[in-house]
Parts: sequence; structure tokens; C-alpha cells
Amino acid sequence: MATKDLLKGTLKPIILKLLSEKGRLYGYEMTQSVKELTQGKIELTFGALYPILHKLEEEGIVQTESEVINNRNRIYYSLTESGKGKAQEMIEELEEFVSSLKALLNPNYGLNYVLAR
Amino acid sequence: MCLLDKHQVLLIRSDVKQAGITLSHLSDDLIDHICCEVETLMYEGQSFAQAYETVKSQTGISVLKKIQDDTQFLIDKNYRLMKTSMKITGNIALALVMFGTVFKIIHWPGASIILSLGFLITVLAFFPLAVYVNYQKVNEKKNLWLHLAVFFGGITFMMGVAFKIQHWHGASWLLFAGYISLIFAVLPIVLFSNVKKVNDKKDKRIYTIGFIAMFIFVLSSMFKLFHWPGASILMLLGSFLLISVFLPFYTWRHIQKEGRITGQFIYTIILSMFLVLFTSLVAINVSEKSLANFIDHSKNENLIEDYLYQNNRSQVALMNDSLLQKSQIKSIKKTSDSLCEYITDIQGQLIRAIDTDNTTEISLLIQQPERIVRKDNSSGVYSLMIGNSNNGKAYMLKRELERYKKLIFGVLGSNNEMLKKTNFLFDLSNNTKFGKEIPWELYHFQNTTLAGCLAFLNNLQTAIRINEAYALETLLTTTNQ
Repeated sequence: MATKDLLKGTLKPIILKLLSEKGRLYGYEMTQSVKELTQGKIELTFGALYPILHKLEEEGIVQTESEVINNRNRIYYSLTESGKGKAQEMIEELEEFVSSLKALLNPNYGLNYVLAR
Repeated sequence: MCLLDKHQVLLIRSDVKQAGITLSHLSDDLIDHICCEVETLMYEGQSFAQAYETVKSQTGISVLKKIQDDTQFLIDKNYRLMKTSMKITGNIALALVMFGTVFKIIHWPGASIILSLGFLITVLAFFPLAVYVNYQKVNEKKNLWLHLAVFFGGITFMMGVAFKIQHWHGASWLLFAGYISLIFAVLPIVLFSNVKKVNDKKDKRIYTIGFIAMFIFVLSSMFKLFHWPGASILMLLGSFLLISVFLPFYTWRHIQKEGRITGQFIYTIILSMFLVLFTSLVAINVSEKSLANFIDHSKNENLIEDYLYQNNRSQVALMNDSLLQKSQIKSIKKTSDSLCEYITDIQGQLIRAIDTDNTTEISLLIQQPERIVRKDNSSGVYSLMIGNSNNGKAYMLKRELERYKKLIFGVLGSNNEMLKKTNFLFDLSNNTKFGKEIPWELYHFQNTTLAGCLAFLNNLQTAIRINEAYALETLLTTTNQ
């Protein structure tokens, strides 16, 4: 399972990626999707998720709509028009970061290769 | 998928509400999330009670509160700034007050400045920030009055304590106003709002007992501070209720339920401050008493000195002009008078340097030292009497006393009784303290409070008058023979 420290900076783009793929999600659904997609290796906790969602809403990247479902209000989150571009940017940034990490960790062409030269 | 019924959702909703989640749609988010988790567990075969218990163990009140706090911290720049500065000012103020208290108790210089600074930061920065941050968190209209009461009551109370410690005028009024708002506004509002929030009857009873105990306890400390009768009985009753009735019940209830209410930062700081202050207040009460003894002593000495002065003067006035020792008697009288005047002058300078520079007031304060505000100041005494390069008044005073002794010995050196008495009354030799030899000047004027110093000087004046009386008597009897 991925540690908290490793996850810290990537939560925002992970949430944005989910929203850009699925369009409209509520909080619990997001935690479940992440769990399913990573076979439980990455866990988006309750305590980390909502502060970030509210922050994204404050920044105008996501919007919310409320629906009454089974005796309670369910808040659905989706990307705003202006948020879509921003989301794309952040996702690309993360992808680039991941591929750079991969290059660093590659045994043949990674660090060993550079150090041997 | 298993779905929760209306009552089950209501139960979860009321639990989340108890955590005080008020930030926009966060409570809806959290309620829905908890419901979903419970539903998933119920789908796996657990009962509602089991499932909710499991979820609650991960999402207690403290967790919910922390989520709200984190959210607010992320989205609100002002809140972030305030919370950080609150933590910083709180710690600085606490450190200053603690150091100030320690300095004060050990009588090191600078205690007053450190304490004043600590209180200034508390009253002007930490306390308003803390109240505002808390108000933002709760964000309910009906809580406005509570926060206003806490704000004004707290500020007047803390200023009162600060004034009291520094012996400034108006401390009693500030403390009185602070106490009144604490007892009659803050505590009742907190009680009512808490009792309203709690659903359980047992909890209601426990809270009520707790607040009554607090009420009595605070009342007793007010009685104690103002020296009103009945304080001890109230304090005994209050602490009995608080420690042996409320706390056990409260702890027991808390162990039964899970999830502690945290965010205790404010309370920890206020509480530790309160404790520190309480000990310091007790310490000051003690030193106040020893100061009072000095003052009684000074007043007695003033009376004795005055009596002896009148007596000696009339003796000299009745003196027969044909006496052989006439010139000697006159010179002793003259030296005694000028030495006493010199000492009175030093007393005036001390009061001027430390307490007030109103000239008419100073001569009155020498007679009525209980009216001096900064009786407990010792740094002013040191700088005037000892000084930076050992050039203070104490050295001059010692020289004057030595000259006086020489004069007496010159006139009555052959009289053993007179020699003994003079040496006893004016012992100017070094003293030993902790095995170390300490000069007369330092022994009497270092770490000496203004009240103590004035008393010591009065003592010297009386000694001069007594010695003068002995000398006159001895001279007059020998002449008559």
C-alpha cells in the first residue's frame, strides 16, 4: 500500500482524473473507485478527501449539486468548464512526473547507467 | 444493496451534528459517506448496530472535527493565518508569563516587564484570536452572545489579574467586572447551550452538576480574592463537587461513549496559565503580608522617634546655661538632628525614584507607607542605595553613621555603658550569609523591598534618638555630680 507521504501531492490530480473520466461522482464513490482501480493499494481516506474537494470547489475547478437520495442529501462533484483545462494540466503534470520516476527507477537505463558513465 | 431507514439516517445525522460540523455542505458529505459505509457493511451481513459501531470507531467526533478544521484551514486564508498566529502568540505569552512568575518569585529584576509583556500579548493578541477562531469554527448565531461574553469577561479578568500582580490601581474593579461576567454570563450560557445539545438525561444531569461546581468554585475564588467571609466554605464545597462528584461521573460517561472532543489547544493554554497565576497569586498574598508587617513596624518607629525627639529637645531646653558640658550636648543634639533629617531625605528620594514624584505626596507617604503602591519594588532600592559603581546612598550613610559614632566616643569614650550601647545600636560591621562575608551596605539594601528599606531606615532614626537620649542623660547626670 502506498504511504501517506508518497500520496500527499498526488491526491488532487487523482481526484481530477476520476472526475474527468466519470463526469459526476460523490465522495464515497471516489474512495471506492480508487480502491477498485488500484486493487486496494491506494486508499483515499475520508479525512483527506473532503478537505481537498472543498478546496477544489473554492478554487472553481469543481462544482457541486445536491440530490436527496434515501433520506439524505448526496453531494455530487463534477468539473466546471474552466476546471476542465486546469484538470488536464494537472493530470499531464502527474503523468510526466510518473514517467520521470520510472526512468529513475529503471535498472538498465536508470541511475546505474548514468552513474556508470 | 441494503438501504438505511429514516430513523437510522437521523441517528447518524444527530451524531454528526454533535461534532459541530457547520461548514457549507460538509455535514451532508460526511453524513452520506458514513451512511454509505454502514450500508456496505450491512450488505456484508452485519446488523445496523454492529456496522455503525465499526464505522464510528474510525470516524469518531474528533475525526469529524479534524476534517472540518483541515477543510477550513485549506480553503480559508484568513483562518489559516489566524490559527498560526494564535498558536505562536499563545506559546510566547505562556512562556513570558511563566518566566515572569519565576523572576517575580525569586525577586530578580525585570519580572514586571516580562509579566506585563506576557499579559499584553495574551490580552491583545492570543485571546481575541482564540475567541475568533473558535467562533468561526462554531459559526452559529446563538453562540455570538457566548463569544462576546467570553471575550469581554476574559479580557477584563486577565487585565485585572495583571493589574493585581503589578499592584496597579483599578485591579479590583477589573477583577470584579471579569468575575461578574464569568459567573453570570459565560457559565450560564455555556450550561444552557450544552444541556440543550445533549439528548441523554444522564448527561444532562452530569453537565448541570459540573457547571454548578464550577459556579461555586469561581464564586469562592472571587470571595477569596476580595477577602469576603465564607470563601473557604464555598471553595471546599466547590472542589468537593468538582473533584469527587463531577469528574468521576464525567470520566465514566466518557469511557462508555467513544470519541473525545479535542481541539483542546485553547483550553490547555488557558488552564495552564490559570494554574500558574493561581500559584503566583498565593505567593503574592504571602509577600503582601510580610510587606504589611514592615509597614506596621515603620509606623511604630515613626511614633517612637517623634516621642524621643520631643523629649530630647525639652531636656536640652531645660538645660542650665552654666553647665560645663553645654557645648558637647549641643553638638550631639545638632548632629543627631541632621542625621535624622538626612535619613528622612533618603526615604523621600527612594519614594520619588520608585513610586511618585509628587513632592507634597512624598512627605505624606513617609508617614503613611501603606499608601505606597510599589511597596514590593527592590530594584529601585538597589540602584539608589548601592548604585552601579558602589557610589550609592548606602555608602554615604555608613560614613555619616561612623562619624556620628566617633563623635559620641569622643565625648563619652570613657563611659563603658555608653560605648556598649552605641556599638549595639549602630552595628556597621560585615555580616555573614551562607558562610560568605557581606558588607553592611549590601546586607541591608540588596534584594530589599521598598517597604523593608523604609522600615530599616526608620529603625536607624529611632536608634539615633535613643542613643541621643542616653548621651544626654549620661552627660546631665555626670555634670550634676
